[in-house]
Amino acid sequence: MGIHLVMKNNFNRCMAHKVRYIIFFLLPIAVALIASLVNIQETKQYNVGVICDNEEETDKLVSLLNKSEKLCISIANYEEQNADLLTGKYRFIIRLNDNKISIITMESSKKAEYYSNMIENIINSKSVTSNIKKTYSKEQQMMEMLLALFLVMTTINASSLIMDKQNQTINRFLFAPKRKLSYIMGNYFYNLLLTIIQLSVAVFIVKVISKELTLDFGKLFLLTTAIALISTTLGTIICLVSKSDVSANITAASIATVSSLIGGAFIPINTMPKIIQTLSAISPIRWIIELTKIFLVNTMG
Amino acid sequence: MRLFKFYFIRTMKDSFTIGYSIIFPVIIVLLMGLLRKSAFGDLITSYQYYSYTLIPFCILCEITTVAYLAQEEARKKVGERFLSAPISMKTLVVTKLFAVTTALGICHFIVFSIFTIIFHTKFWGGLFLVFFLYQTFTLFTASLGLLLGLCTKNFIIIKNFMNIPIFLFAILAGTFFPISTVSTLIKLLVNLSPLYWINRGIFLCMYDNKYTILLLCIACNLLACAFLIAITVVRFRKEAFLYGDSFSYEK
Repeated sequence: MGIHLVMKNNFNRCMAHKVRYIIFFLLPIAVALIASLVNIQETKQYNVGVICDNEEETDKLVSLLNKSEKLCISIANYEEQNADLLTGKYRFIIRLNDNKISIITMESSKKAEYYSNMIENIINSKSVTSNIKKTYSKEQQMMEMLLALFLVMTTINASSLIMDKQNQTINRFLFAPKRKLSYIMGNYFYNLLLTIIQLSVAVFIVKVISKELTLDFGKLFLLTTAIALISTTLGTIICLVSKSDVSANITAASIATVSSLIGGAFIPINTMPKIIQTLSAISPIRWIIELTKIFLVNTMG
Repeated sequence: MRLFKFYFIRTMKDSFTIGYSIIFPVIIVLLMGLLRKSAFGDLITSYQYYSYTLIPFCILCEITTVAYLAQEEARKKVGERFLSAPISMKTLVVTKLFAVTTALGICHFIVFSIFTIIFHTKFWGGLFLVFFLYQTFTLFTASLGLLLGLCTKNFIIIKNFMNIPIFLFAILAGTFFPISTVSTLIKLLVNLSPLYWINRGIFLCMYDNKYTILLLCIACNLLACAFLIAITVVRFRKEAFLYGDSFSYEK
């Protein structure tokens, strides 16, 4: 009964400021939607710069390399080549000097050799195998990104617990008399429900727009529920142990960043050092990547 | 000067702010550097790359911290004493800005020195300019933080969503890994990220000896700071200073 009352009260509170609530409800959906769509629409091509002393040779090389679908060729500025590589404007730069091709890259020498072979193959009209290793599926990338995002979002939602503590609202509730656990669980279930709806709406729209997601609606819903459960639980725990909402928000942002790093959101787990691979077991991002993998294996065999 | 000293000491005594400005960048650079060690070659090591890109990101993250520092009087219920003292709003805002910027600047200097010594980060060539850029960027984030803390009615809502654009800007700017994209939409979004221009300015200065973008970034930071401070002084809300901790929260 207490849980139901808290949930109802939270809903009434939101209805008192309808416009604010609509923004509060729609903004996470919009952010999740943009991030998911950007992630799905990203094509697997290399951005390559060309630097050549001779203009005629440059045009010749560019037209030759443009035949490859894997490359997106443009002429690089010699004076800004290092910054272009470091900011990711180009994956690598081809330098043509006296008919000799050299590769400039910020990556390892092994990678530079690989790029060099690839260019030679293109010039000699040999077939080029897929150049970029596909690390995660679109679903896995989308789910890990949504979990990192909602780790922060659910803490924001759960920070009303801290406010209620500061405003003595919890004390008034305890006078009722009701248990503190009912208050916490009421907030928890309200936030869980809100997160499930927000995530489901975002994933539903992405699934309708994009044809690249192979999982069906049912499995996507199960995954979004898992994300909502993990993020709401962590968000509530963070708010319960934090003294102020600023410390709760910063803690959530730091946890989201660190768990994304060690969980394999940016770097595939198998390329990480052994110790980080072991550590990554505690990251919820890894759990969701593995869970999505299980669903994908079940679907595609 | 007394007010400056007061605010400065109070910021330096705030263990949370200091920890977030020193410990967080060091840990995140060490972690990212270790994880991405094999992805970098001779041009730059992973530790050096993240030393350059993560300091501006951490400075941008401090917007929320400064906004909270701006509302410290309200949280400690001493706002009325400040308002009844013979101090103008302008003095109060500007002093607070410089005190917070100096305190955070010292933290950034410590982090900057740690990275230079441990990772042999090539800061020396344009050392002064890069450090000056960090300081002006701190000034900009501090002024934006003050604006949010002292002039917005719905600060709680704004600060709740502050982390999201900051992280999006960071990802687009290549803070965590360089974004090499062929998509025009993402290229456009990358160009909209202020962190991208700061990172590019630093790399151009350190590795290509070109200073134009770095100097432009410094100028933009100073101009934006002047503009934000002017708005903060004009739009200063006494209610935010007195009851900023609770006035927008529905009871």
